[in-house]
Amino acid sequence: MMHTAAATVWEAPVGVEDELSRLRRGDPEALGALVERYQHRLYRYLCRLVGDPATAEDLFQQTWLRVAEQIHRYDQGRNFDAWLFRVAHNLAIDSLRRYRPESLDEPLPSGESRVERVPDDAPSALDLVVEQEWSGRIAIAIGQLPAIYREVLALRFEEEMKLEEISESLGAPLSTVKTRLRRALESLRARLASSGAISEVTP
Amino acid sequence: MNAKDHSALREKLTLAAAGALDGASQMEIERHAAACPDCAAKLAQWRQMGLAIRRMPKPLAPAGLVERTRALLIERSAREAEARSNFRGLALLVLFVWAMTLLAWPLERQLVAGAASWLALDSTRAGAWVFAYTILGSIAGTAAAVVLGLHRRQGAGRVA
Repeated sequence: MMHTAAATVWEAPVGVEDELSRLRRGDPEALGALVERYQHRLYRYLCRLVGDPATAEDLFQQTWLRVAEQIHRYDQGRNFDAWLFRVAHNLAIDSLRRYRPESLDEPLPSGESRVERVPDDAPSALDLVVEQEWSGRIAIAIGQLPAIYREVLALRFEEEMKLEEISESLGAPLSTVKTRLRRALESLRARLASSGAISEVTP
Repeated sequence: MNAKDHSALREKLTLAAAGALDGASQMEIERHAAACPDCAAKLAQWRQMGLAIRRMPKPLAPAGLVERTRALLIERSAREAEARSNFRGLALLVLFVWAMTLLAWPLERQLVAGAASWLALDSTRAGAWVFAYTILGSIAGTAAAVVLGLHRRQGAGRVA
């Protein structure tokens, strides 16, 4: 979906523009440079979204294969970050739909997901490596949120994307992104309160 | 400010703390928070949560992932280049077979006419049989090349 703000000319970070131009001219080294440039951001996003490092690695590779196939469709005036994350988002959602469809349940009217109702205190492999401090507790609590909430929190707070960029990455309207972000934060807070990490339930 | 307005603004505190409001709405929240200690405290709490999310332990891409991805991209690129090359080769081969068939036709016609005359056969009928045989041979050759090409491609896909 196109949004006015997202359609404005995107100013690529220094270096990315050059790599994109080279890639469109068919320079194979340029794609390798982009893989290196985006390795941590893309892997981190996929880890947050699918919650499993091995699946994130697989999706990371699939994303770049898809980028190589479809780079001719990318409009250089648009935001490459949003385009790249959109490719990764689509592959990750397909994967979740295939193997864990319950993780994509629409939130209930209360903002709570059906998944949230199922107690699942077993930390994932990713959770086990994080420290048991405040930020570690936040990471664990986020890992227990539905995928669509984890995703929007990761894009906003970790990747520092603007809402318009998130909207473009997810292919969702701006209003949906705002609603999802608000509900994600409220669910996170409720989860932290129920685990005793914070004392207050209602902000 | 009445209770309804207060409640509406409180709903926006989350988004304000996430920097997800437009300039005017953000200003409105800031002004309200400056006059409302309760909302100011809530806003500060949401901001703290945002800060905590930003400071979460961040997973880094494992060592070797970039190299493995690059190798995969090179392998895919090489396979596609080979497939393109095979397709071009196949197309040239088919063209060559058809060109040879057409070029050889006058010669074949002379030979068939001579042989038919020697064997006392109907030369037009014998020529038609040779023509049909040549066309069928060309089609069978092309089909075999295509089947072999597809088989090879499927084999490469299974290995990958």
